[in-house]
Amino acid sequence: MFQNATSDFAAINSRIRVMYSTLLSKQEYMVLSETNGLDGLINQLKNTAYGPYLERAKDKELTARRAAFQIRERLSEVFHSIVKMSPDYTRPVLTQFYRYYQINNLKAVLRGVVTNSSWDRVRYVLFPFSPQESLPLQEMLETGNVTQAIELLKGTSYYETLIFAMKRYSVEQSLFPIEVALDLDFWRELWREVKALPGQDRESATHIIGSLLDMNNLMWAIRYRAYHNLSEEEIINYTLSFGYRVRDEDIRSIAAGADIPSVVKRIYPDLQNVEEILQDLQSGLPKLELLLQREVAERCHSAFLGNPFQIGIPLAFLVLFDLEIQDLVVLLEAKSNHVPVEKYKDFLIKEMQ
Amino acid sequence: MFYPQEMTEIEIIVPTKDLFSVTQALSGQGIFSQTDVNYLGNEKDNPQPNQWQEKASAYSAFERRLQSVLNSLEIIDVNPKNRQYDTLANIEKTQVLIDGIEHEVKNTVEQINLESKQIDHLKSLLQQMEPLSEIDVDFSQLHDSKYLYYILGMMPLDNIQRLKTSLSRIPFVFYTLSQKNQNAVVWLAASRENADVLNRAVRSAYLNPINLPGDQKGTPAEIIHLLNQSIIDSEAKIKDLKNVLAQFSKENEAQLISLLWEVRCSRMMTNAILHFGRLKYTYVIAGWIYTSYLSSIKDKIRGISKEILIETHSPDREKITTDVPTALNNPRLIRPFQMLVTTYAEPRYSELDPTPLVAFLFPLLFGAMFGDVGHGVLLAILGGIISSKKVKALKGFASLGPIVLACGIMATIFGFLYGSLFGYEDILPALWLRPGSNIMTILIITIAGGVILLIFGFLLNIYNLFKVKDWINLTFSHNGVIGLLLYLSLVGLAVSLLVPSFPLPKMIFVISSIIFGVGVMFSEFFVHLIERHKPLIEGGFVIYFIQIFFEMFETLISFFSNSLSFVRVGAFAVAHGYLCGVFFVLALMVDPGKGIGYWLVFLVGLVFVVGFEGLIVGIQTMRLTYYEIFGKFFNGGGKRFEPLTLHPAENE
Repeated sequence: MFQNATSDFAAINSRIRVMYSTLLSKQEYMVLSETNGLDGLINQLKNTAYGPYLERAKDKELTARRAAFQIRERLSEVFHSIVKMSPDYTRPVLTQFYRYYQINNLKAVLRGVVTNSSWDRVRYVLFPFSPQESLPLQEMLETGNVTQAIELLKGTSYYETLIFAMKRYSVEQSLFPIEVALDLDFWRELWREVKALPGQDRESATHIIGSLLDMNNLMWAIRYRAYHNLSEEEIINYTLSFGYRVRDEDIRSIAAGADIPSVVKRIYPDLQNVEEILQDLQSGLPKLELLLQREVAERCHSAFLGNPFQIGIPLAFLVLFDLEIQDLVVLLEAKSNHVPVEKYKDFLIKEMQ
Repeated sequence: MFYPQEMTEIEIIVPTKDLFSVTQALSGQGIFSQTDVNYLGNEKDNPQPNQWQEKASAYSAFERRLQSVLNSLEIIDVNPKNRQYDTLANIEKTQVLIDGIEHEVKNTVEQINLESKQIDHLKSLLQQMEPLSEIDVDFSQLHDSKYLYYILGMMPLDNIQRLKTSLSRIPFVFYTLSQKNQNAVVWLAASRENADVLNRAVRSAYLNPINLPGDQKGTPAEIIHLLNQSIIDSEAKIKDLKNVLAQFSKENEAQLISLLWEVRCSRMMTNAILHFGRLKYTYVIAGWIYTSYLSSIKDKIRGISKEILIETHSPDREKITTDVPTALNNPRLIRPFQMLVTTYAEPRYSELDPTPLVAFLFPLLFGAMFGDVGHGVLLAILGGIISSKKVKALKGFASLGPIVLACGIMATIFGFLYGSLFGYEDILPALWLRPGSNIMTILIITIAGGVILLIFGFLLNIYNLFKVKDWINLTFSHNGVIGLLLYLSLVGLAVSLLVPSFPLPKMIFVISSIIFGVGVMFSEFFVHLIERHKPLIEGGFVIYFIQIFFEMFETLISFFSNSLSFVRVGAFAVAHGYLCGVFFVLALMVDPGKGIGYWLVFLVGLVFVVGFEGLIVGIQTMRLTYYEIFGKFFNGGGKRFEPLTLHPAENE
């Protein structure tokens, strides 16, 4: 398998490099940021690779939420074409990675059920899946009941995971255990698939996926302690024992009450101003997350410099694409709420200076 | 038969004492439709309080309660042998009777429910115990442990390692008792003082505790055995209780059904009386009655009492009215086709009933499109089976049965005319022509047939307008005389252009087309002129001319498309043969030796042709009937005749 890596990745590599060149540049971000209001931003976005996707909706329908949905359609299509072009042995990793969006959809729908939201309100918050691969989300929402909604997932890979979480839900009436169970299951499965890859592919996938996982795992541990005041044993059970840089001891020490900035500094020695940022945990955590996302983005960009015939290139591109969409969503929300650029620029993963 | 039943409006003033008998006399034959006149009279004039409302509510409640009892007893609500309930059920006595029945049935039903709930509870315990079945430990011995705190439960295998890690700061014992799929049954224990830590850890590791029944002792296998035994005992109890119910049901079925119908008929009678007008000492009954039954009903009512006053009024059929209810009046043979008419619209009282025309045209057009002896016979057999109501699954389609039967017969007749048997065109001789070999001929014939039908539609519309003396529309409407003359002129012009030997000169048709075309274009102007409507032209000359230009254009297009629409009859007749031919080719490809494979494909083709093509042809026939034919003369908008019924079985 590995000996054929060059031929396996030749086509996908060149295709991804073309798509990589369509990621928005710093200058384009500047232009988008300088637009006047939501309409101006959408008009400007229509001049980018997202244009055809935005054109699919009528102008009057393009609220910030709908526009975000439309631009996610591009990610959905890119994901499909990458999975299709990838060598067979790498597909399980990519497919599992794609399930990240399905899990987010599930969480959004369950929140919709709890808040008694209508389908019209929820549908454009979701990631656009094709009807063949989509879960019965509308039906789930229309049950108006979490237990019945989850019953509709019978036969899917999520059902077994959710059975255990449902017992907790029925006692606590909180979606927290359900969401945590879905996340843990997703990352465990993804990590298993990564570890099943051969040689260089495993190494580069561990690098990319591991960086993402590190960021999530670390942020979970800190949040559980700082926001949710969970006990040591709960934090350990709600986090993962593996990763790329973050070790189990790091998570356990956070759970046990260690000084968070020191732990973060130990894991990411190059991060600047960590102590300063985390002086106030409540306000500092989003900033830390942004720094970690930038770290992940940097790692993904560097994946394009080495051996091109491995899974790291498509994975890195998909992560970068997702981060770009996260930035665009921030821009859309900011413009629709008339937030001035000084207030939102620090929330963009892409640095504009 | 060509018009709905002739109706007479009837108003009857009945003394209170005769109310019941008169109501009964009016119901039962489906000839009287009640009009709601309960607004007549008021409480002040009437010394009696309105007890009918209370009675109707009481009977309605009784009916619901009895139906619930019947459901519990699994008695099917069938029509009783006795079809005559002469008096209203006595409310007090019925109340006592139903209370007694309910008491007797309710106790047993409640016991069954209790036992069922017990079974559900035991099954849920059993489900919890199931994963422990192979563990040979008596957990009940640990129930009262003083220093040890333990948890038994099931959790995802993936979470075990993390759970152990999370407990690393306290001393604990952990055993994986069994594993199945991705789940494990585990037992873990710690000292009681660490119970909080243990609980938090297992909860966050998604461990679902298994709660052993506190009153059960022994190993899980022994407990499971006991639970199974308890379930069997409860099921036996339910069986005994159901036997008691069955015995009760057997002994009282006839009486219960009779009581239900007595209550039901009383409810319907009181509901009918609620719609009567209530005067001081009398009631007013108003409604519509078949004129043909008027004298016999009058005699019947006068036989009840001489004090009853009857007044009648015959509406004028020549007036366009939607007040008079419409009851279609067709011979039994064509009555099933009424459904096709009423699905489109309920005819008005003053309007021609198109049912006879539909009964003739629908099977004719279907047969012409689906002409095949074999397929026609199959369809006729299917129609017969549906009509017989002997197949449970097809019972709901019973009203369609005679239509399918007629279509099947007509398809068979056309099959002989086309010489087609199951798509084979070399077995039977064609008594008329083979559509596949005479494509142009059949297409021209069907268009010609369509033109004749359209002209007939025009004539029917003119007749309808003539009957109601609507002279203006008769003369100037697009489907009236002027429209017909324009259509005939255009048909004549087309024929004279296409047939060189046509005896009349083209010029006649050109001139007549122009004259009648102008007539159609300015019909609104002429109507305004005759009605002395001012202004003669609304909206100014420019708008008026644009409007009449487009109206004319639309009229011509609709004449053209209506006529050509009938080409589908010929096209389907041709397509039928070719569609069967496709299956013959496929069958030969599968099995050139004409063995079992050939006949299997033939069978698939048969099902496809009879099912799918039959359905499409049916839809096309309906389209032609509704849009091309009905559109010309049938307006609908009538009110359906709803007969007064005091016994639901009467309607059957």
